[in-house]
Amino acid sequence: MTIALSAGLSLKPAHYADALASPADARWFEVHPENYFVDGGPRLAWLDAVRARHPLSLHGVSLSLASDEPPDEARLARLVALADRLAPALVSEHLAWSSWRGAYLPDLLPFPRTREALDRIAANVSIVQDALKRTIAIENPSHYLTLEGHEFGEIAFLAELVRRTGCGLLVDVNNVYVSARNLGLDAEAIVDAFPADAIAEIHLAGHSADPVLGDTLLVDTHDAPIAPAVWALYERLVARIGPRPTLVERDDNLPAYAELDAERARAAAVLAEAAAQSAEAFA
Amino acid sequence: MLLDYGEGFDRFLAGFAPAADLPWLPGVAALDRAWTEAHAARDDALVDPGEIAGLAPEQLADALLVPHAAARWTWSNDLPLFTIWSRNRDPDDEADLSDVSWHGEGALLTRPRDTVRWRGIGVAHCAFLDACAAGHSLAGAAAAALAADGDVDLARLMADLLDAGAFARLDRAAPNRTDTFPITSAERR
Repeated sequence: MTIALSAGLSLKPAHYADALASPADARWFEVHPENYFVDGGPRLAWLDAVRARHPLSLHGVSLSLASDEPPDEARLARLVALADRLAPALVSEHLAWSSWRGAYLPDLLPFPRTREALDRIAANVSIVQDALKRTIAIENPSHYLTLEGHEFGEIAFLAELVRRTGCGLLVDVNNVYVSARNLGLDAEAIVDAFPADAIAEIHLAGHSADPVLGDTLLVDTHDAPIAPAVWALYERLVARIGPRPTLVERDDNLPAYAELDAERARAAAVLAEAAAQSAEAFA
Repeated sequence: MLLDYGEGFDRFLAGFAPAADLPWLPGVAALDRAWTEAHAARDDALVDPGEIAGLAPEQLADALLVPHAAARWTWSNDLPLFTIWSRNRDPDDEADLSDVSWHGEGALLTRPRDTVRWRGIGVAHCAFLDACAAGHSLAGAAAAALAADGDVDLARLMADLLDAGAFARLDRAAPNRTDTFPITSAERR
């Protein structure tokens, strides 16, 4: 079994040259498209160069799909133009909101998972997919507090979104771990419940304990190596669903490229092992 | 969008009472914004200086130099904005700026290829660029430059702007061929 997309890395400007020089071996790179909503210049030129060598993933952070209004038309048009230019292997967004009446908040915020929310988010996902003429994957966010008023569990909500829109899922294993720890849930049970066929991408990242509250509040900081407990959840997930494109995310406290690449190689080894096992099963 | 980062910040600062003692701050913020715009502007061609040199004087007078998509310029009548801004961008310049002479200055930011570059320019350079951006012919732009600074060396001015990469192309017939002088940057401020 050949893996078209193995494990990838989030691409930071400090690592452009390393990314460009790294072997084209099914590795891939993910960027926030918002950072490339420009008309031209060196940023786009670098991304074009990386794209010429490696597959790319566009991981949006600002469409605010859980808002009670359609995605901003100008942002969506920029996303479509960028996707047309780069032909990314993957496109994803979050099950969250981050804007209200034109004001943007620098966070991915939670909402009560009601039938009404499902209707409007399904409509927003369809608007984005229709504009892009492709499906996108929706990511489970990190949770920091128990919100009242849910009519669905998170996975039931995501599964219904998949059924209605045909979208895929992006399972962020670190978000599962952080949320389970913060809300007192069973992380293994959550990872086991994601519908396998819908999973288009997996995210891995590091987290940190809150500086005041300590381990009672874990924050999805993307500023540290992936925790052992998150690796264990990842291996459990891949053993169940088989290999899926997996991203090692790092947004802060950026180490040398080689250090991140070692984490990426570890994820790639997990995927290769799963691929070998499914090949054996079909032999 | 990130592309809009800093847009309007200079206007906010101009009305921000706690910063009223820092008259140069809005202009410095405007130069930061100009850098962002130059960095993210669409890729554009660069005019071939040989094409300009190859035109007869009367053809040259009627032609238009189209500013490059990444070119941004400002003029201040009374503040050394370019010196304050550029010295603060230089990580090796630890001077306290107490030696800055307080006079008007212009700044030109360009991105002829991948890198944003900047240089100080005179009021005539700004007036010339304003005229070109407004669609005036080279004759009109030259008149505007001379109106802003009667002592300006036009050949030197052209050489400066071409060297900076301020122009994308030469159009043989300018759309705005009136004889009226365009409004200069100096008059506008």
